[in-house]
Amino acid sequence: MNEAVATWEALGTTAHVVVTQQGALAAARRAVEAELAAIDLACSRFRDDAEIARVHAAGGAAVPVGPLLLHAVEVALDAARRSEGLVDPTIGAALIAAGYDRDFAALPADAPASAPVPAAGWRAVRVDRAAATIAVPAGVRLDLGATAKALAADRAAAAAAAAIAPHGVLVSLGGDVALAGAVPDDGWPVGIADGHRDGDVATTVALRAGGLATSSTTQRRWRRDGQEAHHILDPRTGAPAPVIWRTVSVAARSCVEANTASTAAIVLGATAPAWLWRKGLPARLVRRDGAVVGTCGWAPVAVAA
Amino acid sequence: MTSPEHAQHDEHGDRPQAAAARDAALRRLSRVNRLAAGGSVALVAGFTTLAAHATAAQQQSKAVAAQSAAPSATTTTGATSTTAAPVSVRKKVARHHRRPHRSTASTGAGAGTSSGSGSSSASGTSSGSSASGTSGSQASSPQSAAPAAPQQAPAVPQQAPAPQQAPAPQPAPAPTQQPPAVVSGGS
Repeated sequence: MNEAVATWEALGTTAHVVVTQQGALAAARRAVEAELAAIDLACSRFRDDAEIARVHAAGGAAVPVGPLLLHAVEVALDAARRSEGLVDPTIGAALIAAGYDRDFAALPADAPASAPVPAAGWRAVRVDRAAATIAVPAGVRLDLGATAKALAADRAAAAAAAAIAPHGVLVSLGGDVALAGAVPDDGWPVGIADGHRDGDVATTVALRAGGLATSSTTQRRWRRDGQEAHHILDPRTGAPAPVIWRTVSVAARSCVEANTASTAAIVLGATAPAWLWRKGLPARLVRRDGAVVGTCGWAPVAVAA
Repeated sequence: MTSPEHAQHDEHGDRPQAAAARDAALRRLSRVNRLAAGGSVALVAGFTTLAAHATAAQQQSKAVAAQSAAPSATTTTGATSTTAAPVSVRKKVARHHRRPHRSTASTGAGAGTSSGSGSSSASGTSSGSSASGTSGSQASSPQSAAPAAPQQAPAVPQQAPAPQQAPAPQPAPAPTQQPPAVVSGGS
């Protein structure tokens, strides 16, 4: 095997592309870049020229959209359904009220706090696949952040694998990992850490298929009225989820499924392990004090507090 | 079949009387035998029914316990299938229970009927209850042993029991000593 990796900034985070054949790296990267650019243009709530901005501006009217945004919203609604509303795309207004109202790098260190705004509820979103339209009630803002990045990883990996067949590829977007194509003999080694930029890797696992995602309450934190906030909000309250878990990593059939489950687990808090068991998803949950809980065969390995 | 009383009559040479007495005794005996055979068939069927009802009740109580322990709607599929199984088992057993009286005449052999009905209802009960029991125990065990909505995270790392519904269990990623190609962490 002759692996090669490319790394760059995209979607407000770090993108990695790893291929099993060095000569395939350029083609894989091109395919991934094209997919990420398309997702960003369709789904970003921080871009005025994004397609989703037209949906928000329509005052509740159905808006014709392209197939990519239609797919991204359908995936987000499916995630909401599967997570029983714990991962809800109508949480955009709640994020804005919580202070996450612009690209994270541009957030002020501190600012006055606003009252939490619960999510409008994913059932308020109307998707007409035949007519290719989306309608959201006036005032509702979609945030596809939880699923769109993972969807981008899945789509980018598939596109890259098609471009470099028969070689294999791993795509990581800020720790959301998707695989496609041939797999190295020993699997793809993926380190697990609190933050995807951390050098302090707690454990390394070999992935052979599907995807892996880690959600963390230690990243993307900011202050409002001197109080620390993090970016994973409970849609039911609009407030940051109580910090029971520092990080939750989930392996699943796709990166979207993994990310949905890891985000839902953070929101669920103490009952997350039982929920993950019922879903049949191997997961590694790190409690605030560093204790580790594993589900569905993912052996817990303790880390320092 | 000859009783000592009849044998004594024969020894005294009173043959016609003895023969008549013997015939009468034999008739009485065969009637008693038939009654006894019928009674034993009824007993076997009765016990089979009791056992089937007990199994069904046990399954149902297990399912109810599983449902009451379920923290959310996601657990209803397994619980529903668990409760449905005993109902079908009970119907099957009841049908077998009624049949022996009619089928005794058609098959003609009391022993054959009772063993036939016994084995078929036993296999019906065991296959039904073991099928539902297996899935029921797998389905209910994670709920009964899973943390019941604790307010605090578990004190120590734990291995929860098997999932209630895992359509296609996702293999857990295996630890490796390789240097990581990428790192998955919060972003």
